[in-house]
This record gives sequence, C-alpha cells and structure tokens, in this order.
Amino acid sequence: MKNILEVNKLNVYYTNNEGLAKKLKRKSGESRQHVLKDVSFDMKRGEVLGLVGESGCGKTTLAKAILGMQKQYDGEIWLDCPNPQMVFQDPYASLNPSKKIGWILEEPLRMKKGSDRLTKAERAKRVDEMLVRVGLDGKLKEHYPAELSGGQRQRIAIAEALLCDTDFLIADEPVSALDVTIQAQIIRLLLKLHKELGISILFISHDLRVVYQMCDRVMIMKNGVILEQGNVEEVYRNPFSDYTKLLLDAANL
Amino acid sequence: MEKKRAYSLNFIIGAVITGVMLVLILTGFIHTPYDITKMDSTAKLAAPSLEHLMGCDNFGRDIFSRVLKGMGNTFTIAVATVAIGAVCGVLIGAFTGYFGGWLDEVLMRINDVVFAFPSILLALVFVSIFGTGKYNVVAALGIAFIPSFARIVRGEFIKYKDMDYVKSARLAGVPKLRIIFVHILPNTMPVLMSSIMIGFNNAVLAEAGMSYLGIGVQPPDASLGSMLSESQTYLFSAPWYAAFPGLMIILMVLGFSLLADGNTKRV
Repeated sequence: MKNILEVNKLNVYYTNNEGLAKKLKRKSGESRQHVLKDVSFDMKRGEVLGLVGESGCGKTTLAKAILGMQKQYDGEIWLDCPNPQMVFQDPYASLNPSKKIGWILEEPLRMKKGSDRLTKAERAKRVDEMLVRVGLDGKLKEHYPAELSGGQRQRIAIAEALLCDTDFLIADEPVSALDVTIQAQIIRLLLKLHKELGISILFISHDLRVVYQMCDRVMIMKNGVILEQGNVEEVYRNPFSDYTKLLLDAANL
Repeated sequence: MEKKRAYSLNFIIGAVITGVMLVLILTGFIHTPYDITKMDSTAKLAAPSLEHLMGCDNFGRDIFSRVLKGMGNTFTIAVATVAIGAVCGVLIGAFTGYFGGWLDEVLMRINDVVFAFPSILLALVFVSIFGTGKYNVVAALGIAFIPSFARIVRGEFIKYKDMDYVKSARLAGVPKLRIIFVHILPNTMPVLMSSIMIGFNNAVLAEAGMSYLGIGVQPPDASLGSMLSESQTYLFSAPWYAAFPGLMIILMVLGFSLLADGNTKRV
C-alpha cells in the first residue's frame, strides 16, 4: 500500500518570542528549545496511526508541522493530501460561537470554486447528509454552538473536517475533554467513518486504552523523541522501552 | 432552547432616555416651532412660558427650537465622528492584530503618538490648519478617535486569531480577508458596541467643547455647545438659556452611558 505521509528526520525548534531589546542583548540561538528531535515515520493510506505521549512531549507540534502551521522546521515532511484536516481537543473552542451550526458546516463547501461550485440547495443537502452520517439531528443546524453538548460539538467538528473532502485527518486528543460514555461514542464514530470513507487518521492521545481500540499502529513519544513504533498488539504485548512499560503499567493493560 | 435575555435596569432607563432624545432630534430635523434664526426684539431673554417653552435668547430667538436643531447638529457630528473612528479603527485594529509583525509595530507606535494627545487638542491643531466648520470638526475628531478603537479591536483579534475555530477555518481554505471580517469580527461585537457607545459620549462632549470654543458649528446655526457658550454672559439674568442646552447634553450622554453600561453587563 502507498504511503500518505512520510516524515524524515524532522527537527523543530521553538525560539522564545522576546522583545527587540532582549534579542539584541542575547546571542542568537541561546533561547531555542528543541521540541522535536529527529522524528521519522511513515503512514500508509487508509491507516489509523496512534501517537501516544505525555503533555508537552511534542505531539501537537508534530501535528502542526504536518498541517503546515509550523513554518520553521528542519527535515522533510511529505504529505499526499492537498487539504489535511484536524479535529481539536477542546470542542468548546473549535466552533465559532457567533455562527449557527448550519453556517459553520456550509463554510468549507462555500470555498469550492469554479466547476465544483455548489448552489445553496446543494450545500444544504450535503450538510444534511453529513449530519446524518455523524449521527446528529438536522434541526441542530439552526442552533448556536453554545447550545450544544461537548459530544455534539465534537461530532460537528468531525463533520466540518469531513465536508472538506479530505482523506487525511489528524485527531488531536479528540476525546480527552469528554466523559467516558461520550468518548466511546466518538471513538466508534471515528472508526465507522474510517471504514466507510477510508480516510487515514493520525490519532493523538495520552490514553493507551483508547489508542488500543482505535489504531492499527502506534508510536510512543517522549520529550520530542519517538521511542518506539509498531503494531499496537506487538507494542502493548512486548514493549521495548522502559517508558512504554511504565505507561502500560499505569494504564493497567 | 430560546434564551431569555434579562435587561438590566440601567439598560432600560438608558433606552428610554435615548429614545426620547432621538424623537426630539428627529422632530428638530422635520419641524421646529419657530424659525431658529427668527429674532423677536420684544422677547429678548424672555423666561420660559407656554409660548416659548424654554424661553428666548439674547436676540429673542426661541431656545426650544434652537435646542432641537442644536441637538440634531451635535448628534450628527457625534455619529459621523464615531463612524470615522470606528471604521478606520476596526480596519487598522483588525489587520495589525491578525497579521502582527512590523506593520503592527509601526501602526501601533503611530497610534500611541496620536493617542498621547488629548482629542480636543488634536482637533484644535487640525482646525487651525484646515479652518473652522462642521465638516472639519467631524474630520478632526474622527481622526482623534481612531486610536482607541484600533487598540480595542487589535486586542480582540490577538485573542481570537489563534482560536481552534480560526485554525480549522484556515485548514478549510477560507481566505484571510474572509477569516478576518466574517469569522473573527462578529465575535468582537460585544466589546466593540460598548466602546462605540462610550466613544459616542466622548464625541458629544468633544463637539460641545469645540463649539463652546467657537470652532465647531458656526452661528447662526445652533449646536448645544455653541448655545452654552453664548449663554454664559446671561447666566444670572437668564439662567434657563444655559440650563436647557446643558441639560440636553447631560441627558444625551447619560442615556448612552446607561445603554453602554447595561450592554456590557448583559454580555
């Protein structure tokens, strides 16, 4: 199977953003922070790849770099998808509070230009289909995000990403802000969409149980380094690094 | 799930006062009981009566008619001033806040310089270069009002530009201008509305101050500030001449202050 994503020796540094005066006083390079260290991995088309690590280990930075939001990096990122999408951790920040749900979901469709251009009716139809697909009532179109629950909002966020016709999705801790029963529903929804649409998902999490349910392969990350990667079953049964063992013990798996 | 919005008492009182003021202003545009320039030598400094509700000034002109007209002038100048300040301020604030970088640095330093001058002083400089008159006052005050709006809007944009919903709009391929004006700007409205109302108050006071100094609305046309200025000679012989224009300034400002106050509390 062909790869959809190849990352080769990726290094990211954060420069502390300081005022001009401080920058002049300081010699260059002193305040740099090495966030990602020689990160390399491949991802196959149609695969669900888990990325596990503690807070601050560089998971989100890696996601940003892949999406092109992190402009400065060393190394290579090759992504075979023109419009990668992301589902964010906090469902309360990922929907525009001043817009109705219907408007939010139509926005990616409004961006289609030229021969792909959709009429208002076509847009509404696609939004309705997508709402059914993510298991929500069509009436929600008339509501504002503030009137929805966390789980509903996360479904809307997923719907919005899918309406961009993407085949590569990064889910950055999509369930950690939700309670356990809703978590299971969202996981099931993501797996269903993965099966139906064949999208590749990079699933970022710190929850090993969730990753076990979701993913085919998993990468364990610590302090900006990928400690190990491989088939979920193998990694969980035969952890190679001490850190992975620690994580598995803590998760009681 | 329709939300019921409880309006605060301040908001209601403010709305009532402002409503009455707007009715008076509209009346002034359409019809005044007397011609505002018509002089009646028999009624010089006449006290309020049924014939002249607010009395007459030193030329025997009806003060009620002049107050109505003057409120209209003050109001239009204030609205135009705030409109210039808000539109330019929103544009500058939105672009500097969203894009940052050197443009932000340069514009904000210019902003600081303009901000450092009291608006009246700045307007005085402007008027002394371009001459007196209604439109010059509007332009001068408008420019003086830009920095405060720019600063507020810039702060809001900095707050919102890295929100997740803005990021996902970017990922969906939404163009930058659309993100700025369609996705972010509506979210700044609560804060912007309050500062527009406060700005309106300052504009009323600034216009009154300018006309008081004799560089705003030119006689024989009336404005609340110029009437106040003319009346000071007769403060003791005809106190109603000063009282009514002054009262109208107070009521206009009070009404909008209460509206702005109630508005912020609601949000």
